[in-house]
Amino acid sequence: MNIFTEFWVTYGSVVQFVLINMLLGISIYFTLYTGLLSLANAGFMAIGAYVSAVLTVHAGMSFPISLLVGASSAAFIGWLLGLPVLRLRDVYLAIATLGFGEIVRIVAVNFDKFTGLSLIGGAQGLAGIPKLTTPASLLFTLVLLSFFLVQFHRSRVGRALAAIRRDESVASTMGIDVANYKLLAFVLGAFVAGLAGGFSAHLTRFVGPNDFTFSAAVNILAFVVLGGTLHWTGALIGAAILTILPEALRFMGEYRGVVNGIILVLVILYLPHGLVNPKWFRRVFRKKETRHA
Amino acid sequence: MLELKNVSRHFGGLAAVNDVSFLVEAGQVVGLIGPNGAGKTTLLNLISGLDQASKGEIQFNKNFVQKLPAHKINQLGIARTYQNIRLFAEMSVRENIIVGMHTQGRAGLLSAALMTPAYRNEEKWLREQADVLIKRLGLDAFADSPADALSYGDQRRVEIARALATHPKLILLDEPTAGMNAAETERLGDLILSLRDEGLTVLVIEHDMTFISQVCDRVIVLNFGEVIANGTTEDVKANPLVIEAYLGAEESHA
Repeated sequence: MNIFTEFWVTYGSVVQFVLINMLLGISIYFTLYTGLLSLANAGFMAIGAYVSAVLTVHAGMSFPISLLVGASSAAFIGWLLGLPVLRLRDVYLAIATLGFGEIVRIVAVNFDKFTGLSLIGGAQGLAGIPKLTTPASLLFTLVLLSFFLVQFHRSRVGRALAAIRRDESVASTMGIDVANYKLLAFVLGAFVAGLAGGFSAHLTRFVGPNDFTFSAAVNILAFVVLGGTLHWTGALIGAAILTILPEALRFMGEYRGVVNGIILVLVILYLPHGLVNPKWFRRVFRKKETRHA
Repeated sequence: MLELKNVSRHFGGLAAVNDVSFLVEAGQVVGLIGPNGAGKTTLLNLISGLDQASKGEIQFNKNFVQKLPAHKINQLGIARTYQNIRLFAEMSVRENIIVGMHTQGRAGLLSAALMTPAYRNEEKWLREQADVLIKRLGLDAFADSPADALSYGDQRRVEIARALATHPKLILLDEPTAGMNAAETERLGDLILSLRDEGLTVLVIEHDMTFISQVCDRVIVLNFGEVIANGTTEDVKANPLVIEAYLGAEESHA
């Protein structure tokens, strides 16, 4: 039992960061699964983090409710943003959503100055947030979301999104309202990213604008690039590896970033669909039902 | 049922479709033929809403559809297949067809997540309906195979099944017999005739004149984006303009 306690003292926070990053992986999986290259998730995470932190710190709201309000705020902003920007494709969508992330960050820096309130602490960030995130609450949320994802892929909506990713025009001639479903995927992703933001704020006890920079947005994308979008577990595995790897490579000092990058490049070169490929499961389980998730 | 009035589609200076007008009456099988590059597929894209006409009107059952998005046009009752087969490759044949039944389902994300009885009944019903089409198109052996594992002829039949799954009143078929052998082609002809007898209207692009003669009540001939003939198969075959379009003018000694 001492071994476990020791492990938890040393690595407990890494495990919790893994779980939060898994949430972020799922959040970007929703958009990539639909064929949307969105980099807005760091921005949505910021919205979830700030809103939930302000509610627990300044309004004394209970953690689950502030989490949900934070995530819903992110989803609502996602809806507003999605209406205009989802007309864009590929790289253009990536740039527009990246711009959104910067806007969120700049608003966070200047919010107190403009409103004359002292709510979120400007560039210094908001500190002294109660530590309310527990491993159990994270695990519970992940299990719930995983169950949702399994059901989602079997559902009519999941099939429509898969069809859109494969061939948007054909999907539309099957009566599928492509614009609407893209918006749905975008909003779902925003909600989950907002959730991750809330958990993160109440784990590190701090939210600052520098947590949500360009590199944060790209890191989230890297989870799914590594894990792949052929199956939803790719997002989880990618997030876990890219969170643990920098810790595991700590002995390399300043070179660990380089090694991290090389591993990512090798995966992209040799496994362009990511680490998780459902064909391998099928070979193992030989189920009669074929999945496209 | 379907009426095109002075429909044109310009790509820059090129008129892919130029001032095309014709009428497709309900319950008919109408062939759309013409040399390569005559604008046949462009015309299907305009009717199905994947492309927008530069000029003119397209009317379907009293609705003007030329400005509607593709999914609305499908919901009005127009379905189509593609010349360059466009199945959802990594889905099974049955899943492809179930995607086609999208608008007949109601279940949202919440009922799916909670596995409500309504959701489960609907999924069961969708599978049963898909299996009816699978049987009808003779795809029983491949129902669970990934769509891209099938031969071209079989993939074309999956496309037709997927289009029929949307419950269309008018189906647009873009070279449905390409990649099929003679026996498959003949069976497809029989299928089209039986669908017509059930009240479906068909507009079909084809090069195979035997097939056209077998199934079509009327034939429209396009050349360089314009209608050069419109009538029964016999009339059209005898039309000098059509012979010229296919074989070249006599003085050119083609």
